Amino acid sequence: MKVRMQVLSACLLVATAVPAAWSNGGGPEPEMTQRREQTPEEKAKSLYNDGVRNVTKADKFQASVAQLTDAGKKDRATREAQEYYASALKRFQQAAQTNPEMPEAWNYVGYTNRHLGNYDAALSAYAQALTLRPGYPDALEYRGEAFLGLNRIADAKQAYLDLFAGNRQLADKLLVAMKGWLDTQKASASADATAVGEFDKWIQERSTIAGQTAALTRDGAAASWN
Amino acid sequence: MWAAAVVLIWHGAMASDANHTSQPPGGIERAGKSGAAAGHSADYEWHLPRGFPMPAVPPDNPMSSDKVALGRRLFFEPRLSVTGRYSCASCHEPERAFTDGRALAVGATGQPLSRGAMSLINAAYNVSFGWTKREVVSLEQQMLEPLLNEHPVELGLKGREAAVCNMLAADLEYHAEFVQAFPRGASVDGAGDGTRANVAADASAAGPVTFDNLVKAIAAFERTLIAGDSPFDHYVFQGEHEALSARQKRGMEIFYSPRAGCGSCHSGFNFNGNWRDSQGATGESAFANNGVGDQPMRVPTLRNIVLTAPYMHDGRFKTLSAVLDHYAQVARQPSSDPKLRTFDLSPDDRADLIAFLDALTDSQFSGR
Repeated sequence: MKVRMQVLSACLLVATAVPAAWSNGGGPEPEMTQRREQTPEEKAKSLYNDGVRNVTKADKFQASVAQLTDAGKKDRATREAQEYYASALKRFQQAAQTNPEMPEAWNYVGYTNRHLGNYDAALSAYAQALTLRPGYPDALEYRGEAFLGLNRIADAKQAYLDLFAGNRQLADKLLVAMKGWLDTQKASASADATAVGEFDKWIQERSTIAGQTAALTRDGAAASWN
Repeated sequence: MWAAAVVLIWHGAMASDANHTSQPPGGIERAGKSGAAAGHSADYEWHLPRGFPMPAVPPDNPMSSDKVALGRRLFFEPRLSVTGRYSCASCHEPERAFTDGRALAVGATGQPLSRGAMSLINAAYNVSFGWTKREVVSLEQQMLEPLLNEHPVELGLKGREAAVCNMLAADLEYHAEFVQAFPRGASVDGAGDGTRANVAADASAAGPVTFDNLVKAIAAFERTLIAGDSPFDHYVFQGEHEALSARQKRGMEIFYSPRAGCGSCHSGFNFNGNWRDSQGATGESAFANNGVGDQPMRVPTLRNIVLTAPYMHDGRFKTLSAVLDHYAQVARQPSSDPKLRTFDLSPDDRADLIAFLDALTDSQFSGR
């Protein structure tokens, strides 16, 4: 083994010495093919991109679950989704570890944790993302969904209002998630009927307000005049 | 090359799925506790109501608290007029949402103007200024009109720019405030833009007390006149669903309904169509032929509208009810804007709509 390494090292030395000799000889310089080392930011981005690929696959499986009727296929799709979320989580955690100043990576640590049912870990990650980038709309929306997962309705409402003021599209998305949560609660025998009823009323009022005031937004103003 | 590839993949992944994009947030930053927008612009901290974007600030007139304080004082300064008894505030009174309660504004010498004084509320977001001029696109540019106009005279400072600056420079307090607001003197914020104010500045004494700086300070103050703490804002942006009465909620429904269509002209968070903020303008300034005269007029904000009677550019209507009567019928006139439509309002509808307009009042606002 030791001998093999010595031979390999010698070969590498020769290989790197040759271009230098050519250069000294005055002939045409060959292209250097040496790779420079990635910066932590570049490594983190690369890991992040791997994670996004996994999340995209996971989301597709997750979305298919609702469409499938066969119980076995549903189970398989759910398992696939969970596996991809778990793989993605690892990448995002590595990315965040490599570049702790990357809010996108923290945001996805939260997103994948949430899909794996780890709500508290998800909230910590969103908090980190929002510390790094105050007002980060995606993190606000995802965190709102995590609050729903934990039945923290007051916090979910606040997340909605934060989004409503600055990003209607994501506010609408959170409202859809709220309606989904409500449907689940209504179907559950153990749900607190009073709390569910109050939240139902709140959602209806916000839906009305959102529908009426589309013209308040940047796009709304432009649509009415441009 | 390898590094470039990494960057390309990064962007590719970021853009590959709309649900997973992580673009930097837009212009609105929100502060934690109050939920109000906050932001820093040089030496100035904005405290914006929730739902309000960061105002645009000209690069040659950055905000600072010293400049705003100076601008506030100058805004109320009667010596900035030919008579020494008239100020910006004479036509723009804080308690009237920075209008004057008159149908037509009156200049320092008593000459009537052809139109009413516009509200300065949220003027920081205007795409253009004045009732008719699309080309006046900054507060600095607009302010030269009341300061220097001669036909009719408004404040009447044409030809007196240097004298005014000398007077202010001789006032020790003012001089100190100018030094604080413009620590680098006359050229602090660029060489100017060739406007009349800059020409006038050349005639004044060297140092920070220039006409150009005077205009900039007042403009900086006017940018801070932001009102967004009305019951409507509490209802829509703060989630206080009891902030509007049942009547006001019905009025809001009428306001935004296709039937009345009020919201199609008075769109945007400031109820005057397109706006300009730190991200740029959402579009052209909103002008419409409202059936009063032949010329299209700029769509004014409806915020604090109950405080700004009489209404329309010539103050012809004393009440909001009269304004509604006009708009219910104006679409019958062929020259009126195609966005306008005829509509019928029952007495209850009318009361509801007016109640909603009342809910646009930020009663705490007084040019703080």
